[in-house]
Amino acid sequence: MSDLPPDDGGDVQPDPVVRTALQLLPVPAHKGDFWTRLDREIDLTDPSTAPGAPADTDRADAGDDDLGLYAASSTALVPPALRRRSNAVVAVAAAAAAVLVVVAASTLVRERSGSDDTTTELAGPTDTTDTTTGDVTTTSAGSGQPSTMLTSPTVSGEVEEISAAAVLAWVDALGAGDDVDAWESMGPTSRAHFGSKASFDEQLSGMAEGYGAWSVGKPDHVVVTPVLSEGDVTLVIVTLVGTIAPEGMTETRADAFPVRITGGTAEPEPFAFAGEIEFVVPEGVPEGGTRPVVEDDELVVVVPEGVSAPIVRLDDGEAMVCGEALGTELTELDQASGQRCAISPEGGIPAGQRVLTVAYASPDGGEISGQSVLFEAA
Amino acid sequence: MRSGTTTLPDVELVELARAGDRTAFDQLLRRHDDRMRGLAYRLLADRHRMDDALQDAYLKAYRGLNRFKAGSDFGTWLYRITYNACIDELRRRKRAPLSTVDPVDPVSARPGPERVVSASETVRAALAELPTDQRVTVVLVDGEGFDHKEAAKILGVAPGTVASRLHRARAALRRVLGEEVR
Repeated sequence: MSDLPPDDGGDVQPDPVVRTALQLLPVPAHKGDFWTRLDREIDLTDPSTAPGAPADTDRADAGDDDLGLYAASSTALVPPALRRRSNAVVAVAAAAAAVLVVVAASTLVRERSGSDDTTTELAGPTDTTDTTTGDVTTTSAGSGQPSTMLTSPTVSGEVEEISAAAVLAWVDALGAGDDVDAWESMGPTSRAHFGSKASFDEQLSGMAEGYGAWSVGKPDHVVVTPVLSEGDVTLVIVTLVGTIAPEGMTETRADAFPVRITGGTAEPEPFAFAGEIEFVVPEGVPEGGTRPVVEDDELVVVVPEGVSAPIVRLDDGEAMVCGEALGTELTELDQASGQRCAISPEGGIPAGQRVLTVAYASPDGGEISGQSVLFEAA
Repeated sequence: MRSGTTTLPDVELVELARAGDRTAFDQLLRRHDDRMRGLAYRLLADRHRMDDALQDAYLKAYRGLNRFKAGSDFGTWLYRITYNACIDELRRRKRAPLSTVDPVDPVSARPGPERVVSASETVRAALAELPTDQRVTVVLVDGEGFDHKEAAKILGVAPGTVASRLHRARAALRRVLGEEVR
């Protein structure tokens, strides 16, 4: 990272050489029927969503879900940070040579029980150990291999609870249009991302439409994955899984939210992402919001070059450092920048609805990327 | 098309469009279409995919117009939607390599001297080699003239991320382009 410019934006003035080069690239016109096709599609738009239609009272604060929707596995909901976010359980040791495999600590599963009253239970990892300590713990992966490579920044049940609660409170604030609460409850990196509350407010309606849908629909499950524990700072990813109805279209999905815990206080960090995550298998949610189907026993994601310990996790099983844990492989891409992470769960992928979560964090814990995708294993 | 709308500023066209005026919306799209095509084509390097992404983007913009926040910049808003649509398009095609020999539209390509054509192919190939995040960043800043804060808003990333992506993208492009465009 030493070759990177400082974060002062000083490198972002137009580069005359590159600018000239880009101007040499001719941009073609549309095909002849482009505008006709568009007109036809617009004609087919549901009148209730067309401009000029009466506002839906349930969505009075609805914003544009397209705003900032970057890398999500689905195009409908998640703001850019979330789309790139991952559920990294990265215990990148100070010593570069140290290989740390982060095993999922405990998993908090919030079972849905009626309206908004939820009960909480801890669903322990398959066969990992120590799910409740706050210390880094040497443990074993689920497949029974020796524990020499495995270290987990496990977090306590209390941390899991306050993390989940922080995310649920944040989406509730957005859903309720409470800009003050939504702004003040975010962590420092996310607030710095916007620079000011006014800037945050500009995007509030879009976030309310996206995240706010969770305040109405309520998640069926909340999975908390530890990411990094360094000093008094802990990073986790909270994945909400459930059925929500943005834009009036019911959709079952999984969305990942980073949370920073400092001194017993949990703050959502939805805009603190460290970089991109690309799902290859399963692919992102296809057009129409249908769930991607995976028929193979191998899952594949791509993370940027330089990410040293991407974390992968299937459902609420153990979180694994890709390339270190059994059944995972991390390789450089041949034709492009990035690293390919392949996950082949022992015994295959059980048929049914599954959630794949991928994450990584910057070594200093300042940034975190995490993303979850819901798919159907054939 | 109603000629009276053609000189209205975006903010007024948006208001008309939000009230259901399709002509106003059409005018808005056509006003910004050049830049959206520039972004989409440089990201996707394929005319058909560019059109597919822009169909998707414009339709989403239409459907989202009710939620467009008054006072915001329509162009920036549309950029973001277009950007997201391009990313979706890329994902739909998985990691299929970007075309480097996309047939150039005979009308708009305006073939010039051989040197220019050769250079444009070099640029296209060099751009296609960049990771998506770097490609879009360099297109926005060096191709479209956005400053880092605007680019960060469109991309939904921190300004520092824009800076680092730009740094890498420029270094890669300069390596490939060499003296070609000087």
